Amino acid sequence: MASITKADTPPIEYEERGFRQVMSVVHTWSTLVPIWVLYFVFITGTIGYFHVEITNWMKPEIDHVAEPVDDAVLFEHATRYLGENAAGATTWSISLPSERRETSFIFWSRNITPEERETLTPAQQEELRESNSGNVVLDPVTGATYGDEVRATGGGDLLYRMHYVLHYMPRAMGEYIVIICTILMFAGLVTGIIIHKKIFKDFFTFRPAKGQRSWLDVHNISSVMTLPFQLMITFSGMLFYLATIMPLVFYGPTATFGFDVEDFLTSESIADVNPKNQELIGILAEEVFGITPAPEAAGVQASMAPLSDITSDFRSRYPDAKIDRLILQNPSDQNAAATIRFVPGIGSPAIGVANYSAATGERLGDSAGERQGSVAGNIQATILSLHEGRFSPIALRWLYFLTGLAGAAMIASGAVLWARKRRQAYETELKRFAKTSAQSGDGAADPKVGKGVIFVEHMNVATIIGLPIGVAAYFLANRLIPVGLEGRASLEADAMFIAWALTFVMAVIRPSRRIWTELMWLACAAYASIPFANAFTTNRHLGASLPDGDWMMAGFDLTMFGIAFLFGLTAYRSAITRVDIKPQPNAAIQQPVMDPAQ
Amino acid sequence: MDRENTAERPILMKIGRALKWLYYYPRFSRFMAALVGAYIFANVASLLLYFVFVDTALLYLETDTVNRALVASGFNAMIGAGLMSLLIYPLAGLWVYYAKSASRAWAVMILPSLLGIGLLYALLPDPLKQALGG
Repeated sequence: MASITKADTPPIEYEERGFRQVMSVVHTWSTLVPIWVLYFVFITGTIGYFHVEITNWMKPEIDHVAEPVDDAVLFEHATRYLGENAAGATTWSISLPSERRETSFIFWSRNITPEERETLTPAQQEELRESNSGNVVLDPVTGATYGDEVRATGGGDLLYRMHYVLHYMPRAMGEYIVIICTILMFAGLVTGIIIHKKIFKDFFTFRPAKGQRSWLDVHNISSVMTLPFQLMITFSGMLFYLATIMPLVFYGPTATFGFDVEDFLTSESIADVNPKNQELIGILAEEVFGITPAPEAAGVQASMAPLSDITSDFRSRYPDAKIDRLILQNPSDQNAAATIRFVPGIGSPAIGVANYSAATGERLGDSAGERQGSVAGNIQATILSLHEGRFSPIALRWLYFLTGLAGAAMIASGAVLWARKRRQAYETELKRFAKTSAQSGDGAADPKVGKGVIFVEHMNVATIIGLPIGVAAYFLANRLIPVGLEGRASLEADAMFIAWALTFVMAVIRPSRRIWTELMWLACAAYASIPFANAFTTNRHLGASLPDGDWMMAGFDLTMFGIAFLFGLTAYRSAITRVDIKPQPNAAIQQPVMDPAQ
Repeated sequence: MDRENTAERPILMKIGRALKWLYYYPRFSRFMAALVGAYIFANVASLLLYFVFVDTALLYLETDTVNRALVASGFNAMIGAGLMSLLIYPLAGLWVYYAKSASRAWAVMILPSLLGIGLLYALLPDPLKQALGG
């Protein structure tokens, strides 16, 4: 039996090919090899643009706060709690509620002084740190803290995390896999641009119900329309891991301006580096990031200025800025310092920092989110900021979400296109075989689809539709696993991957021409059932959240219905337009895969 | 006749497999040139760019204290070189696939890199040369 994928395929001789042809081969293989990992990264990363909202939905025990809370009320509750529970800490951090997060997240920690570093053993230092650090979620209205009554969950943060460290493997391994796939994707994007002769025409071309041609159009449209986004997201993804990808370029030059690289790399944290490196880090913070170092504690007790006065002074200076958190160094000391971390607003890169004296409320200066006089630094900060979209208001966040999905569609259509091309070659060969067999009447070897093509077809359907089903299972597990069950957070993640794995099994055992439709109906049912599961297990269902104006919960439930509708619509359309292929005379020959674009 | 062919087939298959490996070797070599050769090239090119971006007047200033201006200039030059390295690596890797042959691809990646390493050593400030054993 001859394999259709290898028979008659001329060997790749790069010397004989033109530039575009060579780039076409590189485009195919540089994107095909990491394609399912990239799809996973794009889907989980895209979901990550709403990770805060998803976490809110996955913790329904945390009450909805209907009205914005005055800073003075919040700080009164927070400082009272911290004074009672974190008096020995040297740092207090209080996050301010926003339209995305209605509660306040508070954490505290203790720095080890140089004297303590010399006199205490590492174990004693660790114990001192541990006993004076912690975190809690605070209701900004009542001042109550949330504890064990809130269900343990990975929330949206886990999905967001998966897009750069994957899951079920050591963090470093996950990061390396994602880094390699990102580099290949960047190469794929560049080669994709090179091989496109008619980018402008592709922008407006979609020919539905044309099989392979339709998939190519989907691939072209989704990539051409969102090309700047795809380039930005991939390049910035690599930039996040600059030190890992190019350690020599990152750490090598630091030796020329005095860093002890070995000490820096072997220290557990920045706080543990040697005094010279400490000094250099301090200089970098000041000269490059504009962060004024907090003064040393005076050891003299003093009352603090009203923290709400500090935030109102800041707001009067930067009305467009969004305050992320207020950090107090050496609270209740004469030299207590207050630092406001903020997102400056659309168009401003990075996180801004404003410094105040917590004892007097006096303004000491701020970075306004700009690195001082550094073009490269600003470019880097802008690119990283664009990747995360921290500055985005809700509408822009939705745009991020949609372009992220377009990226996933680009990857998915590329994967399907590859398999379709080989399947079409098989069908052509099948016709030729039938013709020659009829003419000669002998039993010539019949063509056979390559195992690789069949594997890719199964992987495609199980990943492209199976992963969203897995995500739906993750949300359903959040509502269906008992709240007090030990290890429930990891069980939620397990549910996601078990559901996804089951779609692989389905892809193998179900007829290939039906599996796309069946899985899409399954995805439709899974997403549609999420709001119902929410209604049956909590009191924050659509009937309550809509009248209360609780858009955090209602928005999530409505989005689930929207996704279910889209899956249902696609399944319905693909089912009614499916081309039923008559059974072939040779039972060993498999049916072509059903094509959702038809 | 048939029996003879059947007996010879395993040896021929072994030879065929060996030839197949030789046939694929240039592809493997090209792949390694894109992966490793382009990586070395990108590192050396970016480190040279660091010396273009940094304030060299400060770099060679002999002083015992930490130079604040050099720290700022050096960090920014490092970020600039890092940004460039992420562009150079994929583009050099792509060029490898366009080169006429795998050996030419290796030559273009490695020979300038070796020259670059020599140049980098020459550009290092004296204390670092001494630290490296120069």
